[in-house]
Amino acid sequence: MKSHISRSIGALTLGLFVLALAACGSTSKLNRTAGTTFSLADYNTIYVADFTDKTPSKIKDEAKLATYRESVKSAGVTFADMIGTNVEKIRTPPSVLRAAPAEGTESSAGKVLRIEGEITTFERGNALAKMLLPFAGSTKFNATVRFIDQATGEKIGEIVVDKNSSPLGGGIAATQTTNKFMSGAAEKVGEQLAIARNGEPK
Amino acid sequence: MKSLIRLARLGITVALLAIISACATVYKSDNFAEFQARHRTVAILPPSVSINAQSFKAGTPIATIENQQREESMLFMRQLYAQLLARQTKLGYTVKFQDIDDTLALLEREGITQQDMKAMTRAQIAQKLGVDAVMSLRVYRDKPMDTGAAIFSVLIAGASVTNEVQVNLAIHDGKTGQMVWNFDHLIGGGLVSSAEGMARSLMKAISKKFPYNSRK
Repeated sequence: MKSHISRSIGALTLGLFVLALAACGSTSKLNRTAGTTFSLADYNTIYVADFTDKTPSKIKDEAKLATYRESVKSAGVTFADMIGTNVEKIRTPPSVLRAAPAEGTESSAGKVLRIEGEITTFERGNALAKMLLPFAGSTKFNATVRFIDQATGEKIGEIVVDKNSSPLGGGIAATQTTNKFMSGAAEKVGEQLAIARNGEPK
Repeated sequence: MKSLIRLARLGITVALLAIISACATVYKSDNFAEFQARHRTVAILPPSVSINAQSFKAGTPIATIENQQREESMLFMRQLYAQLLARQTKLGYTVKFQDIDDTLALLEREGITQQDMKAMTRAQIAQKLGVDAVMSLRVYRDKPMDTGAAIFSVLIAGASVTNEVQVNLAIHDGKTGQMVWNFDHLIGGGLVSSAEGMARSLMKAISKKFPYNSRK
């Protein structure tokens, strides 16, 4: 009887551990805008703009809200930096700029692709609560990444990022941070761009 | 019941230790050897440091956060330079490093700020500095647990994630602007960790993986 109980507990723990390890949330594939004629392979320069803050405000305290807004603003810069680095890992990489290219860049550096977007959810969560309780203190990071032709402003495609920490809690959930989510999503954006440009798996 | 608690505690500790000893991701371009043969002098650019504002007490002025980021940027730049110089004689790097004071002076003389660098290609920056390659370091810092929560976590699970530091170091060729090497590493520090200590160990890890090693 005792061994049966301990076997069941063991199986349950293992199951929960596997579930906790499973990826939470996703980063979509590149969804091309219907009817667009632009090819992502044609761009020699890619300008990655800072991501803007489109998160809803739930915080009432003004000081806390200001700190939160600063935190999201800084995450917008970090996420763009991470995307820029992953774009540079593409085979035959384009030049990457992190600020708006100067006038005339189109003629001197070829066509410019702008990667931009917004952060729609940024919840840092509570590491201790996540560690101790399931469904508590979750970390969430959602964003929209757009690929735009700089010259015409036409949208070529979009990637949707929707990440959250393991709802089961525990040690894995405690170590899932917004930085980790941004890093993983940026890698996927680089991969999708590489596939669209060269058809290559990285 | 006791064994279940012991198992859960072990699981939490293992997971927390996993982040503390996370592995680095290293990217090296296919034709790195060609660049290595051509590169003689490398400049270290002033690192960009970003600290999550939510790591500070609510209401901390933005200027205070920015000041700390600037101070840490210099700390990381000096640490990286010192670690690379210390290992240069030991490992025999095939490149020399531009003195960081010279790099800072040249950037100031040219009127190039960190913001200006964002709109410049790495080739343009290398040209202004008169070097064959440039190294750009980005550091992201966060404090997922405050001290009180960390103490509680140590009591319950035997470990905590008090500090989280992610570094990304890229080396760009000065002629083509191509990224030839990239090192990405995220580590977590426990209750007794400090930003300075973690900076030191990260810079040490970078110098160990540095690709211009003549013995490789």
